[in-house]
Amino acid sequence: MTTAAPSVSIVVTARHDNYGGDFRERVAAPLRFNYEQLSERGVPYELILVEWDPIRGRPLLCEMLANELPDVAARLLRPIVVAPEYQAAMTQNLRVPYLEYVAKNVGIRRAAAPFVLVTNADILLGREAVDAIAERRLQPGTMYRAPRYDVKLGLDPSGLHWPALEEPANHIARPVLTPPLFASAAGDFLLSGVETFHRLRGFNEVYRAARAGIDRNFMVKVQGAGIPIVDIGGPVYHVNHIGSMRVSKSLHRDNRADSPWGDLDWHSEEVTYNNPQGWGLADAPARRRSDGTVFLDFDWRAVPPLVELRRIVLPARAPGRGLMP
Amino acid sequence: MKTAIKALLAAVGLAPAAHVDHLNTDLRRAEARIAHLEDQLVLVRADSENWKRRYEDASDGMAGWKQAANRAQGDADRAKATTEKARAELEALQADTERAQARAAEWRTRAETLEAELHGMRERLQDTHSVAASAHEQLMAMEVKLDLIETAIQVLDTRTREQAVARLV
Repeated sequence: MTTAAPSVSIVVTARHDNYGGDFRERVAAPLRFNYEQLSERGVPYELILVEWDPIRGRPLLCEMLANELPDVAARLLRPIVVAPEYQAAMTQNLRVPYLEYVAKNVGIRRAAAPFVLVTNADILLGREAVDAIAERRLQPGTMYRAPRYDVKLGLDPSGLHWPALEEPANHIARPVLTPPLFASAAGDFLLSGVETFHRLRGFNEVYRAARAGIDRNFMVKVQGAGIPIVDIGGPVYHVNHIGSMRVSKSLHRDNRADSPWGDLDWHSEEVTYNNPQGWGLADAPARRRSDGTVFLDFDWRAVPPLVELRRIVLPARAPGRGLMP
Repeated sequence: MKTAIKALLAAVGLAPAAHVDHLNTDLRRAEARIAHLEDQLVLVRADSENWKRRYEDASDGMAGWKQAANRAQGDADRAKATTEKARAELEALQADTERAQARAAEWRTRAETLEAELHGMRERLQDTHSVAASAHEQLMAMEVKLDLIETAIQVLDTRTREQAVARLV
């Protein structure tokens, strides 16, 4: 692995709560897979792991990864541990226990590389995405998307290699990204220049009452900002797990407003947002531990208002998506 | 003297030989002339027969032409009748056409009026649609804001209850 400055910051968020099953299978294995693929292609990158609302009394996920993936932890991992008070202070919906996209904003805000890939810890990069990154074919002003192929539940972890991942027989879903938003499962793969993310001020932090649809809402903002959206040419893979939104949301079909992801039907395509300047907990006091882990301590000054209605705005419509049908 | 002799001979029925020769010559000429005339007569008769045949042929031809003329006349009469009938029909059609044209002009005027009304209605519809779409967007935004207010109130309510209970404890 090269020690050159990272060309890509990969931002993921997680915590040690065994969400979706054993973290070794669900988090460590994909991180190792991506590390092997990117390293093989000589891609210098940093892995920003934002541990949001860590559970008191449990080891930090970054500490477990240091044992599980020492190479990754030593060379690439930049853990950011966010004080649990932020979840309590910022929540607008007590049923939503994890402000995933605020956590991702924390990582984006602190990314050091010229390109940022926002994804999830259980996502395995596809061949085309790795090619595009390794061959430096990316334009900083373009938002790259990849469809997420769900790999069947209970797949043998030793089957995490591209030939198996690319085999249609192992797929549950093979969605096709469709213009103009290319929004399907956007939270699993968003790649662009860091300046583009800063220009957009990250994901919606004004509407924090739901976790579902925030990625789609981000794509509405991307499109409204006139940023080209491009399919990177191939999928990323997600090994299905118990508790994932895709698997579990049917359990909430009778009470879609009360799911753990918030209201599944909020108007994420009809409105957009204007985050305050302090998005991504920019004003949170940071404390660096000797192993490089950054702790964001709680400070009310870093917390945006509970409600700021003027920051809910209407999206600029692109040609073809105007008011007229 | 000579004259006297001739008179004398003539009195007894005689004539001089020269005179007889002369008469014989005349006779021969007359006979030749007659023969010639007879030949001419034969030719004239033949020519007459020829002309007679040609006359008969011409008469026959004329009769044929007359019949043809009669047939042509019949045809012409029928054609004339047909033409007159067609002219009458044409005039009727022209009258119909003029009435239809008048109706078409009337309908065209009505269509133009309706088109103008339709254009106006379409513009009003587009305006209405635009306003409705804009109102829909505003409504969506209002619903999101109301959601936020509701959830924020719930959060505040929970915090308030927790603090109130904590204070009591």
